Amino acid sequence: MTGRKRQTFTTTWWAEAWIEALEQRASIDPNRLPRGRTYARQDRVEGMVLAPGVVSALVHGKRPHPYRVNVWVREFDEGEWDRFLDAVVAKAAHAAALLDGELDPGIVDDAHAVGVDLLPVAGELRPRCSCPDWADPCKHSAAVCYLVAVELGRDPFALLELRGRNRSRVLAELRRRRGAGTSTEESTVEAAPPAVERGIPAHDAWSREVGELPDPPPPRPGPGRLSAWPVDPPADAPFTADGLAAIAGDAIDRGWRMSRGDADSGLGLNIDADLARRAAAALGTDRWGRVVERSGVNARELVRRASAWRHAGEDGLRAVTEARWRPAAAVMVEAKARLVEARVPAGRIRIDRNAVIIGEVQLRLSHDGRWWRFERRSNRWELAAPPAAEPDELWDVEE
Amino acid sequence: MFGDPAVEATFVPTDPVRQGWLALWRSDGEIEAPDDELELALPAGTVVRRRRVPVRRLPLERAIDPLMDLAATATVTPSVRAWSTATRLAVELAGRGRLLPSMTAMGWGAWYLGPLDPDDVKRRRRLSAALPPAAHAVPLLGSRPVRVWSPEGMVEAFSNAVADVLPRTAAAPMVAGHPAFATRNAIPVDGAAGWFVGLRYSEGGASVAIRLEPPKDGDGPFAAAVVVQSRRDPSLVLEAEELWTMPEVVLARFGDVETSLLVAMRRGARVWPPMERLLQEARPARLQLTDEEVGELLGPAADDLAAAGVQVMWPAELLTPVELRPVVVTPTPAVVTNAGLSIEALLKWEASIDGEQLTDSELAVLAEAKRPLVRLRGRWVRADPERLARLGQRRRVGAGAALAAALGGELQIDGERVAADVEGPIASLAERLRSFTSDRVGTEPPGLSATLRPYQQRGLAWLQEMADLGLGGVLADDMGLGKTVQVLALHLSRQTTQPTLVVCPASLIGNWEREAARFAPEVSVRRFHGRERSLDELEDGEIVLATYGVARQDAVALAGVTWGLVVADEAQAIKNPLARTSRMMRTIHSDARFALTGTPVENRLTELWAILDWTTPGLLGTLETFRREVAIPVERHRDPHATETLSRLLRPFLLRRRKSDPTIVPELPPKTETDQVVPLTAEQVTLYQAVVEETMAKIRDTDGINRRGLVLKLLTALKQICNHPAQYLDQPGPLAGRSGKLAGVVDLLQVIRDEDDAALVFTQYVKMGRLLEHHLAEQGMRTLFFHGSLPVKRRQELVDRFQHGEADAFVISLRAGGTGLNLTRATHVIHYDRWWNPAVEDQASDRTWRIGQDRPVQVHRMICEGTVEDRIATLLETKRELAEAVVGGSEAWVTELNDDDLAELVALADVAS
Repeated sequence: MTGRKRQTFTTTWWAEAWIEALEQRASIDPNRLPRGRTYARQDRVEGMVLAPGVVSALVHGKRPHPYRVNVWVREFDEGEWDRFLDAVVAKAAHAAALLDGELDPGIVDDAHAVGVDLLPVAGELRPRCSCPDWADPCKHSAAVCYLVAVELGRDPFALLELRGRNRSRVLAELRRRRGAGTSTEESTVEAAPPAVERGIPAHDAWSREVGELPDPPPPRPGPGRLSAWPVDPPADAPFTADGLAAIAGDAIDRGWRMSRGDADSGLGLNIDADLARRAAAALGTDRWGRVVERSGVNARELVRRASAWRHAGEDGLRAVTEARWRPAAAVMVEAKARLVEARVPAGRIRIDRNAVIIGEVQLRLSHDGRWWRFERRSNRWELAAPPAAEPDELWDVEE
Repeated sequence: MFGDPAVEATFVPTDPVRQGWLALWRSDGEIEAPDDELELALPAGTVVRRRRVPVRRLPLERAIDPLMDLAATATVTPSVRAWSTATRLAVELAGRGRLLPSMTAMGWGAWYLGPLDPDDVKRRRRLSAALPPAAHAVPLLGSRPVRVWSPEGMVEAFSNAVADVLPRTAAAPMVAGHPAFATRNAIPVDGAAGWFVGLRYSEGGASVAIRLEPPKDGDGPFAAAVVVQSRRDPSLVLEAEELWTMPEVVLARFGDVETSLLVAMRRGARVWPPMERLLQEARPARLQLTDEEVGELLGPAADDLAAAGVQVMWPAELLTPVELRPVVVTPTPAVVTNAGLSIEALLKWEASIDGEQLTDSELAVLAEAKRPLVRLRGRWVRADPERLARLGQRRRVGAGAALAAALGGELQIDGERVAADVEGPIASLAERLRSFTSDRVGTEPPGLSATLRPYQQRGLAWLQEMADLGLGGVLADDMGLGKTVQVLALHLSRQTTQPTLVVCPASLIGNWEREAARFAPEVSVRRFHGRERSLDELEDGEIVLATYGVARQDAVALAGVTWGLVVADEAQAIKNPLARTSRMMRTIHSDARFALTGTPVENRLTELWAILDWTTPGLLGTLETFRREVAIPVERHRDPHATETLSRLLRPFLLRRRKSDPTIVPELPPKTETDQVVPLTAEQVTLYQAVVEETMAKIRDTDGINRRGLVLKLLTALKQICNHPAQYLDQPGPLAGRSGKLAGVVDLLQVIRDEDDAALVFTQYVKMGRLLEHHLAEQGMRTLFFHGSLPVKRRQELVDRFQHGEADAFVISLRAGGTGLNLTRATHVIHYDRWWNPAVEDQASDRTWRIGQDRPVQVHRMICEGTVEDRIATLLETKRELAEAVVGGSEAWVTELNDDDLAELVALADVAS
């Protein structure tokens, strides 16, 4: 058992069913259950062992010495096991689900159809405790039962073990039933080669021949899709399926662009720049709302930054966020002269600090000497184009 | 980062994996700026020993970008090269969606790469086999005799570390809503341990595939057999049918094969529901498929299945493709005229399988097929309705694309490159281009008052040929080889009355005007510039000069003229195809367009695309396809096929001669001097006029020694204004955008740097030297500043650094005082301001400073147009006796001029007229 606190004991339907059996049994004396739950949460249970037909553990109660708890579960007899295994082996889906960490309701149904009930009913569960409490179950055995539910949720094979057979035995029986072992051929194949060696003698490392480096595969037409996860992460995990998908989806997209030579990793961006980058990617998709909500930035402002990013990346973001400044007057005069040369009526041109203002358009100079076209939208100046070396590049004669 | 070609890189794995780092070190000494020490297992004579070496730490998040970008041609150690390949493989996998969350041994959350396709496993294995010892010589703790990380283990650790770093950009935790798997901190996730175990299954000892099988009889259904392949030994392949009855000892070779198989099928069924039918059986082995399902497996379902851990295998016999080969034909017989690009071409298709051409009736069978795979000529042939729909198409092809197909053998259709045949006149045109030999010589046209050097005569012949064909091209000779004079010769040699338009940066207008006056004195030249510009009453064969700014604004007026030639000088200006300038330049039509550039465009393929798409539209296809199909394969993947195709295509259209070509060098004079005439900015004009007005008024009222003092003061002030207003006003900055001369020098230095050369920049003012040093450094130019007050030891140090290639520009502000300094790395000298004394300048250019050694040297003199600088330069050239009078460095002769002559000398000429 780890030392983490658990808010809930069950996230799977079969662990739920186990708790239900426990609760039915306790219907006579229900007040022991909440205390059992508290005990389980307080880590008072130690040395829990699951074995065929029984779970045993020590539970620290009020006395100095812990009580010994055994929870007995009725084991299947040979006939029941035969019928159960036959039902499982009839469909590959059943074993596949078990191996995937899931107890498919189909298994329970198919077993029930041949008279075998996998999940214990109230009468099949017999807790015994060394405490003097007469209640059944007492809080100590209830605590153990709750932790058994956790174990079952993690690994459905634990349930089969309680019914009398462990994982490897069940798998071997299934294999035998599928027909393996009917072959009497003696194999001449030797055992599996060892797994990847973590270390090699240093001398060999420096004397081995090195080959040619492989070429990466040719670029794909589009980014890959995230591999499907078989089941969602547990509810008490410190992450969510949705969060993982957001992180991985973005990394997949960047990885693809990097491979095409279109983008860098973005690992060097600060949080504002990275947010603008992600916002630019999410703008116009169904992820937009979530990005706005989690960013804590006003939606309108985030649109402004995202569109600046789309026009000119980090430089664009800097252009919309940098403070207004005062360049040498001559530079702005020169800019005005260029625009007049480009047939903008001199009367329409106004100069304010680093901006040349022509009606609803601002041409702003940034510290690196480039010009940026801003347009007024919903009362904010938004970046409207990639930068240019000269202000008149950003102005159309027709305007 | 990996600039030092002796730097080795060793990966040091850690937990959490993303905190792994590359240790940079040198085997032949200490690395620059070490910040740590690391124990490595290194050879010492015949044995390998542990040794602590000084290292510089490079965290993975800062290593990924430089490793991705490492140029194929960069000189680096094999260890750096191997990590670059490892990074590319890992990033490619991530981009394919193969990212999975997991838990490390210590319980931290970590992303890793999976599931791997068999081809990925092969690539990783080849990478491990190619990993040089220096990359993985990290000793294992306490091993004796010393053992190091295995190449396989190291490659795996590195790849997964890249996968774990990549997703964690700064805003990831914010967007995810939780720190786990998002921040760079270690976050425990052991509470969900079981969930990760579940994810890991898909990577068991065996990989699972479904292999398609053709029907026994032609009309029956297709089926897929389930097979497993050992990951450790991919040669071991087993049918699921056998697997269920196989002795366990055989199964052991596959690892936990049943688990792999069952779980993979279950996950496969989630992304491709037909697999669910397999799971309903007790011993799944074969899946009957509907035709629709076969079609799905030919599409994206295969990728989804691969990502879920199930490969789709197509036996070769099932995938005989119908090869569609486009043939480009010209509908009517046409002659190649000087309007070569207006030829119309049509595209039709020919279909074949295994090289045998299909008949129309067979094509009809294919086109009408209801199944995705059809039996034809004893083979199974994939009938792809979308592709087959092309067969009926007849469409027009741009002449540029048709010509590209004729030259390169490939045609770009719907964003795809396919091999193509070209027939008819375009094929002859291609043949004519291919057979154009570079030793053809153009004869100097009447009216050219210059003697062309042999390479310029060859250049002229090429320009004439490309102009006659109406194709245009890019003349990319190194700066100083005389591109202007070749173009002027072309203009003169054209037997036509049509005018020529030259578009260039503002800083070059003056140069063009002067060179035209010098080499083609009878041709009228007009500047289309300034407020009063006009294109009225163009003379026969006139040359019109315009800046890019004007071309941008007045494209409509310019497009109204029937030009014989349009020339874009410093064509880098149109390298951004989306910029307004480039768009406007496209609207100006002529018989032929030529781009001139001095920078090595062939190394920047997308820029080259933009320039060629202007000179010869359509030749290189769309930018998007060109990037994907050509630029990236050539620049990044060193794809030999793409490289060869591109060079065959470009050869006729790109003429580039280097100054260093052994065939060119003997044809060049040892020293070429050129005046770089640059315009003043509005601020400079205002200052200049104010100073002239004010001082001239005073001068008129003074005489004797006072007058002399005022005149010299005036000269100095005007020279400073020409240099930079900030120098005259004694300001520290700002510098950008205020001086035409400074902008001209930056442009010049950029070209020089792109040629991999360096320049000496002389100024007589220390203050200007400092401004230059500051501004050039700000422009990303590596700059050294050498001036009179430096101690001797420091001087030598600067010279050594320059000679070692540590600077692009060596700014010198000093009367020629030093002796015999070796600055042979530079072949360019820029005189930022003038001494008005050829002897002093010559001394600076070559005697005191030994430059260029045995290479031809270019001297650039910066002159502000219409100013006193310009006036005196002309005087010096035309009046030899005056030149002799000023030897000795004195400007005293100016003080002897009478008021009117002086006023004329310093007045600012109106150059826009």
